Amino acid sequence: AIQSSRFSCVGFPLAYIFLACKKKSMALKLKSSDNKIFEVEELVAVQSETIKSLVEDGCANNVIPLPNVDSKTLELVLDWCKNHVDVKLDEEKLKEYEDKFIEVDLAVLYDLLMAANYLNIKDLLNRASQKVADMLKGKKPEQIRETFNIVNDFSPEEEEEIRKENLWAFEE
Amino acid sequence: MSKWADLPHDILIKIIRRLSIYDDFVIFGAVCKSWHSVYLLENPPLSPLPPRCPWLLLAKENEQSIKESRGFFNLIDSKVYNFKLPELVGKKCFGISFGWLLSIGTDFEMNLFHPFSKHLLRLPPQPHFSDSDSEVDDRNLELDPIDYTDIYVYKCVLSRNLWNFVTHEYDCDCKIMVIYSNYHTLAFTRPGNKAWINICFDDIALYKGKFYAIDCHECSTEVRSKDEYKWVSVDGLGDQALFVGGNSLACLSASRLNGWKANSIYFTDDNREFHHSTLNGGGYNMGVFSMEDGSIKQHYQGKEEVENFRQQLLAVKRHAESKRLLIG
Repeated sequence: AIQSSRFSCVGFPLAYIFLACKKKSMALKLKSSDNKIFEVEELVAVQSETIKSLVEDGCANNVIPLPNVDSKTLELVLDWCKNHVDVKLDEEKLKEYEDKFIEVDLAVLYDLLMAANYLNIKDLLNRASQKVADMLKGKKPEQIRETFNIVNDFSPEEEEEIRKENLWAFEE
Repeated sequence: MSKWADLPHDILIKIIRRLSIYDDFVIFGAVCKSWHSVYLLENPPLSPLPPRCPWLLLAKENEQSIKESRGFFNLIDSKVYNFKLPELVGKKCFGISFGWLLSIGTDFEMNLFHPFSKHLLRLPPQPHFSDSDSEVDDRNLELDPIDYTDIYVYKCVLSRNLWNFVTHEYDCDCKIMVIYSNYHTLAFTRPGNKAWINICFDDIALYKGKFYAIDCHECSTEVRSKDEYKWVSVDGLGDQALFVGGNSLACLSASRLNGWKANSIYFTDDNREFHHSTLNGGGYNMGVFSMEDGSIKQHYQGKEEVENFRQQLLAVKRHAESKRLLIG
């Protein structure tokens, strides 16, 4: 059954929308923040929960604008999605792919995190978060700040208070 | 301000939940204000995170300087830290593994408690009660409850981490195995089980060079013949440090952490029968034995006012990172 929300979203004739909904794995057009158009199979794109709900609401017949993702990042994200369409893939090969995929510099890792969060792609968000968590392992606050270029915005008193609470963790 | 500091909170929560060591969790909160607020939201952590290195849980002192707190000796910096742990007041504790403690109250209540994350798993009452018609019980019931907790359970070992870090639930496949009673009886339970299952053997048979013991629950348990576990002399432990005593046996790589002595055996006094007959209770026979030069040095040099309460190594590492060593 076609819900009324689908009509209100795009002013297309009923028959067109009906066809669009029926047809599986049609191509979707995604537009990055720098106005590049990516044509991708629906099955690939709907791994993003954000895009999936747009498709389900019948709002995916035109170009889908993604103002928070630049073309460089979107290309990477779509590559991830393509490799995760068939989850029955060889587990070992998939892990190998993921490990290689996430070996990126910090700027790219940041963009992937933000894109995965915005597009709501759970496995990518998990993998990118894991990568950051791995980078925090065994480091002291100063080292983390240096790695991630974070400014220490605690007052000396606040910092002292935090250290005092768990003094052991800060010992060299 | 850096963009990493200003990551949306839901992303920072994803990241902090993927940390696997408690030390890293604490450090996360000390990076900047934004990360600190996420740390506060997530504290105590969703999962029981083990500390990076073993801690020595000190005996409860008679004159506690800080109420409801317990002292832990850090083997890395050789300092004592007090943790506020009202959950352990009046309880006897054993260090197990993965950061868990077995606590036994004078009311016979047994819990597995994670002192850092505060996770608590109630265990069935002491195994003795599941089998009240045996002679063993009558003997033990004559004891004062405090003595009772002191001698009743000798050892507790987990078959794997109690916690499933993927589902964020207790792992019902984890076996919690104890040696208890004067007869050193074996019993086990699992998270969620209502009773302990005693492992008593009704029959024994030899098959292809191995002994098989049949227990009363009709499952066969393999009992290896003596010569399958040969004692082997070793000259050294290499990079490893071995932890023995009242805790679960653990063997950890020393090179990854400063402050540990490789090729050494850290030991605590678990000869509890003698604790009652010594002047100040027991638990002083502790130290580090060097395999290299045969010397014994003390690791914890505590005050004398410790009651006859076991001092336990809280052996800690995640299973994947620690190797169980079978010597003998």
